[in-house]
Amino acid sequence: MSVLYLLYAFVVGAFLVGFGMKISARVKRKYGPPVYQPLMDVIKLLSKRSISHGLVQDLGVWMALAGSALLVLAIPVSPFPFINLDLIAFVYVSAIASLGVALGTAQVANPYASIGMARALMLMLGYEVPVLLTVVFFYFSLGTATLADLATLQKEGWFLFKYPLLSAGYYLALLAEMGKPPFDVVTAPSEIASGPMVEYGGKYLGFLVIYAFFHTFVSTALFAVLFLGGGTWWEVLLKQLVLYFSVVVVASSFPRFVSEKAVVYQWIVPSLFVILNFVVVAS
Amino acid sequence: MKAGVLSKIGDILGDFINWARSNSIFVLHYCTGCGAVEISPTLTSRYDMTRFGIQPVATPRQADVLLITGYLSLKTLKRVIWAYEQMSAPKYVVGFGSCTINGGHYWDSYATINLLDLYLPVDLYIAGCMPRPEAIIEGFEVLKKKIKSGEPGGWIDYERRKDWYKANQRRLFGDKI
Amino acid sequence: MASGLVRVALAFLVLSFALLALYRNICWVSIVPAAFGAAIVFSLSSPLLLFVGWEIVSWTIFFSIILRGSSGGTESVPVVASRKNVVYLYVSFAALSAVFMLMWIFLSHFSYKSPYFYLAVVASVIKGAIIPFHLWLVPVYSSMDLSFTAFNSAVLSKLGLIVILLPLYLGADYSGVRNAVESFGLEVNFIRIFILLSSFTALYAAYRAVLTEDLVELLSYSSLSQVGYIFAGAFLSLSSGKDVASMALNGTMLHALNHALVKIPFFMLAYFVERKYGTTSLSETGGLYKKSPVLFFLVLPLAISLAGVPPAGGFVSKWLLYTSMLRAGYYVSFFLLGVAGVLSFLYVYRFLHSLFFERLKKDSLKEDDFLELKWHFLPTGVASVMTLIVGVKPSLVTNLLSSAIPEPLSLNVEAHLPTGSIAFAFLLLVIFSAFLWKISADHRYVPDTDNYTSAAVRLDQNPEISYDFSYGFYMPLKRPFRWLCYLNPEKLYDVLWEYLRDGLSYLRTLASGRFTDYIFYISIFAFVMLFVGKVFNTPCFLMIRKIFSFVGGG
Repeated sequence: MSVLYLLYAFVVGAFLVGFGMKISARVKRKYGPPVYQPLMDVIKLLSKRSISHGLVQDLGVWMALAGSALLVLAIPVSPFPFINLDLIAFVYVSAIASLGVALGTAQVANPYASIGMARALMLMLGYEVPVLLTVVFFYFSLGTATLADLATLQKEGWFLFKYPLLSAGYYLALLAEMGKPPFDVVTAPSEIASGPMVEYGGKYLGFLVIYAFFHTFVSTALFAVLFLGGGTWWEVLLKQLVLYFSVVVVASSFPRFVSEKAVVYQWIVPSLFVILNFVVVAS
Repeated sequence: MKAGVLSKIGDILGDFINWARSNSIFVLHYCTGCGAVEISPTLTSRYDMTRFGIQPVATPRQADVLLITGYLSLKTLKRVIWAYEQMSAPKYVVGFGSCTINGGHYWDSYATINLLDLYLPVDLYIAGCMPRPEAIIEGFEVLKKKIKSGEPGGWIDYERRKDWYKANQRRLFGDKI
Repeated sequence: MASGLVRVALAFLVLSFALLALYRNICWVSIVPAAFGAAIVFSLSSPLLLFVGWEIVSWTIFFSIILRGSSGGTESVPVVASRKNVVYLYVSFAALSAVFMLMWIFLSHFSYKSPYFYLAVVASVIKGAIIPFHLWLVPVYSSMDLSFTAFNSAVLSKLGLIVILLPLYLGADYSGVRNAVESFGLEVNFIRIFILLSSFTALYAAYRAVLTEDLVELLSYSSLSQVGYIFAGAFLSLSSGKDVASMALNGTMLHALNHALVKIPFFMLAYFVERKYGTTSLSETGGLYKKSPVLFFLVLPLAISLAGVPPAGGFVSKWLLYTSMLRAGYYVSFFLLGVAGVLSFLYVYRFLHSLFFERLKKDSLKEDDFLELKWHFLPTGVASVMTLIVGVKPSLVTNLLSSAIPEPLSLNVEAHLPTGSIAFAFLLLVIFSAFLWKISADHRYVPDTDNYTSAAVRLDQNPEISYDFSYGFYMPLKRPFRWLCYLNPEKLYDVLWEYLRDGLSYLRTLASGRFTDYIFYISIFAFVMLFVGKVFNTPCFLMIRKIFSFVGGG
């Protein structure tokens, strides 16, 4: 059953990314690639030969894929089994995948990769601040931050409508977590030659693309569970589609923040929203 | 009987993979010469190369296609050869513009080369000076047909006749290749 | 009392590393008396004996700073002189904590339960280097022989922990932890400040660790940060109701164990690096992965544990501390600790990257210099296995620690956190990824001089070109806080010293020799006394009188 869940997440992630490319192209008045383009990319990449710099790069890529698949198994979507975690544990489990990419990047002796990884970690420091404040808010007002409990607590009203400021703050942190403009300083295509992925080709890049599918699925599903009520798999799917549509439209419209400004922005603006939310709820 | 079925499945799988490969082409965004000015409109809103599955990437490690746009000076050729060798198979070289075919209008220059095929195995030439985006797209359609048919690309030729290519390159650069 | 199986295992680890340094120098001389002193403290027999053990440890550290380098290393005079400053720094803080301990012991008439226990708490906080008493830790760790620093950071930094947790071990009443604590004379409000200070120490130290360029400084600030976590958990387990206290106490003990397991191999590695490379600057070390890949894979679980990532042990202890803090309602402290946790991931990555994977430019080190690296394998392996056990099945370890965690406060960690299923699912997924990797198209290995940018500089022909990103790794994090660098706590102590030295000289200007000035001063004094007489009965004045009476009468 978990295997089915992972396959479902893979397919949904691939089509979400495909829809994202299409929508982003339409925003820019282009036609865009077909929606099954990411699947084509994965098949092509897995069938292409590649180079590797050593065992740690291989291990890093396995850890990245395993870590993101593990995250999929932690999101409560109704008919599938899931690991019962709370939001803090979820944040730390998501660090396994980052660690995998980081290890792969360490072995690659390319300075662009190191710069990209340093920026990725600093951006992680940035968006974890509003996420931690969100955890504090959940404990403060609801007494629990377990994902399953939060999903069931939204039966009478979604948190998007009950705590709109909190949702807005988390939405900005979500943009940074997904690495979307204006927070795409990590891959920064024309700046540091795709950052940590600079020496990844063939199946290594294929694995990272699959990691991107799972990561997209997990980020959107987490927002859906936390703020849009969760539920059965087709409800979550609809919410993910709408959410991802909005994320891509916002992302297509912004240029990039410099890494320092991105981090400081994430410390100030979403945190302000969450703190205002505290003030509003407490009064 | 069983071997026949397995080989048939192998064929279908092979065809499927070739079809996938033809629909997802990563082009190294390496603008070697003045032909590069035509890549940008082909990529962006007006002519939109991405709807054919062709995407630019930043490093040779991730790229399938090396696009030699225009004339190649000796300096650039050295780096292009290193970039080509850093790419992984299957990889294709597309010569773009008449300078790669016969030297173009720099045919009598001391600093450029006249025939790219001597130094790198070229899979496709797109003629023009420079080719318009419609011509580029038609050229990539031919390349896609070639990939889909499973025909081995120039990279196999490079591996088989490496000495010949290296001899040509050494003639240009001496031993400092 | 708290010397369960685990402490024995720790002692084994430490001694096996001490064997490494046996041929070298004074490591034996420092570790044995320090271990003796620590054992006395941990046995919690009587307050005077506690103080004796406390001081043995302090004096051992003091001597080890002085005696370092007598192994024949040629050290220049400025280095020796700066070490003298470190000695003064350490002696002043150790003396301060000794003063508070003595005040506690004498005022409570040599018994544990008395209203003056807060003095002992203050003494432990000074010894545990919580802000604002953190100044001595990093210079002291950097000036000692690094093999002794391993023992120091793993075991001796936790001395204060035992004293703080005395109410839990010796208070008779477990029906409510709060009753036990209040029977010792501690108030919850007093403890709240310390929780906040410890969390802030964790954050500040983690931030300094991220920005430093020196390996030993990184490890020392990391120690300070984890000690902040441990003390925050200890204070939390004193100040809350029973279920939160049990979670906090388990988290504290597990974190103390994890921290010791991680820091001993890391400091020994730093010791090795310092001797072989001659420098501990992060931009100049590197290439250890190539010398011995096995060591890297043994160090990896420990690094993961320091970062707090599953499936290693640091995740479990940090999760317990976070959750107990949230349930008790200390939100600001949780936030500070959480950010410190993210920062720990940053500096752990920097540690791995700079020590193992950077390209070593001047490879003037000989092959047999690295043969003794093999001695590190067994202890590091034992520590990694223990960390993984803590991460996957923490209930095994909490049963072993039962002498440190009183029975009413024990906790079944796995009922709250599914560590086993996380680890199991992760393992299966890694195996599946490896399988998928294997059946995909093949790959070839290239040396690290052949990367995408290296062709321009022909790195394969000129390997001595420095072409990596290792200096100023997290420089953008320094810029928003540049204004804070002007607030230097060390400068605060300098200013305080100058004021004390010069301030009293202002009094000399009062002695002007003119009779009318003296009449003026006496009249001001009389007026103030009258005013004080009016407020004779306020609590503030009564407290001043109480202090005068203890100093006077005992």
